[in-house]
This record gives sequence, structure tokens and C-alpha cells, in this order.
Amino acid sequence: MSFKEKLSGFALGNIVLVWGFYFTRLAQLSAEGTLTADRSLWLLIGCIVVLLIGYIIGAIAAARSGTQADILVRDEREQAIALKASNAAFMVLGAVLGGLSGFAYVYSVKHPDLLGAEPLSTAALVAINGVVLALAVAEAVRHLISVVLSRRIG
Amino acid sequence: MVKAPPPIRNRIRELRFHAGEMTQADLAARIGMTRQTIVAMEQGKYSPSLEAAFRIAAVFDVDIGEVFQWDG
Repeated sequence: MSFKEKLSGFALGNIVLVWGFYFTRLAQLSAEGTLTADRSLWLLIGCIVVLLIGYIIGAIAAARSGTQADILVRDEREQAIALKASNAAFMVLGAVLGGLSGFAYVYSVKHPDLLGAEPLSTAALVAINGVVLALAVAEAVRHLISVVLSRRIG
Repeated sequence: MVKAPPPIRNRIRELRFHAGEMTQADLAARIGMTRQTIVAMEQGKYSPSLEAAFRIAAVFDVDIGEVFQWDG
């Protein structure tokens, strides 16, 4: 496995674990009726911190398992794979954001009283988590495609 | 759908053998690529750029046509 492949593997695992936990916890709090903007925000900040620490640990582990030449090499095949993965991730990002926007529009038409006592806090909470979801899915797809293409082709 | 491999054959494995069993890692280091890319090329799953192809030929001190052949 090349350095970039290892890095993508670590990043994929990190994203799935951290954002999987985040959205599961969010759903639990929402089901319990205890989800507040503060709780959601601190959960989000905590997950971002854990994600960054995970990235750093993954990068160190990947770097220590290879040579410096492995890290510095600018391989044309890996660059082509990264480009394909980024293109796919961008499409996924657009599709998820578009889907969420469409859903939000239909939902707000059916529930005109959605903006209640604290309209901005509720709307912001939903919007922020929608963007986080879209970014998390797109990043997971980018790393997944990088790993799969690295294993399979050029 | 699996993409068909590019119709280009190469003799990299054979040339490495004749170059004193040069390792894939050695060749990769000499042309500034990863060993995984050399593996993909030898398996016919990846066709290098023209620049990389010339670099490979230069390592073995042969003409580019002796390394890569169009098989289309």
C-alpha cells in the first residue's frame, strides 16, 4: 500500500466512525426530545476535534510505516485517482445538498408552522447538520473511491 | 462494468530481470513513482504518461518502443 492509499484508508475509517457516531447520537437525542442547539453544537465541536486528532494519528501512522521517499513522491497514477475521487465526491456533495434542499422545501410547504418560537435556532440547526452530512458523505465517497481505485486500476 | 485494460503491452518485468533483477521499488524510486504504479503497469492495468514511459526507457537504456508496444 502506498502512503496516500494508507492515508485514505485511515481517513475513511475515521470519517465513518466519527460522523456515524455524531448522527446516531443526534438521532438518539432527537428521539428522546432532549436535542438542543447547545448540545448539538458541542457534539459537533467534539466530533470535529476527534476527527482532526484521528487525521493526525492516521497521518503519523501512515508516515511511520513507509519511507520519506514514499511520502514525497508525486505519482501520476495517484494524482489521476485523486482527481477521479474528487470529481465523484463533488457530484455526491451536489446531490446530497440538492436532495436536502428539495426535502427542506417540500417539508416547509407541508409544515408552514416550522418556524416557531425560535425560528433561527431551529433552522440553523437543521441547515448546519444538513451541510455536515453532505460534507461527511462526500468525503467518505472521495476516500472510498481513492482506496478502491488504488487497489484496482490506474 | 469493468473498464477494459488499455491496449498497450510492456516488457518492464523482463527488462527488470535483465537489469540484474532490479526491484519494482528501485525502478519506482528512479522514475519518481510508487511501487504500486509499477505493479499496475506490469499487470497491464495502467498505461503511463509519455513522460513516464520515456523515463522508464531511459532507466533501462533502451528505445521507448522496446518497452511499450501498441496492441490495439
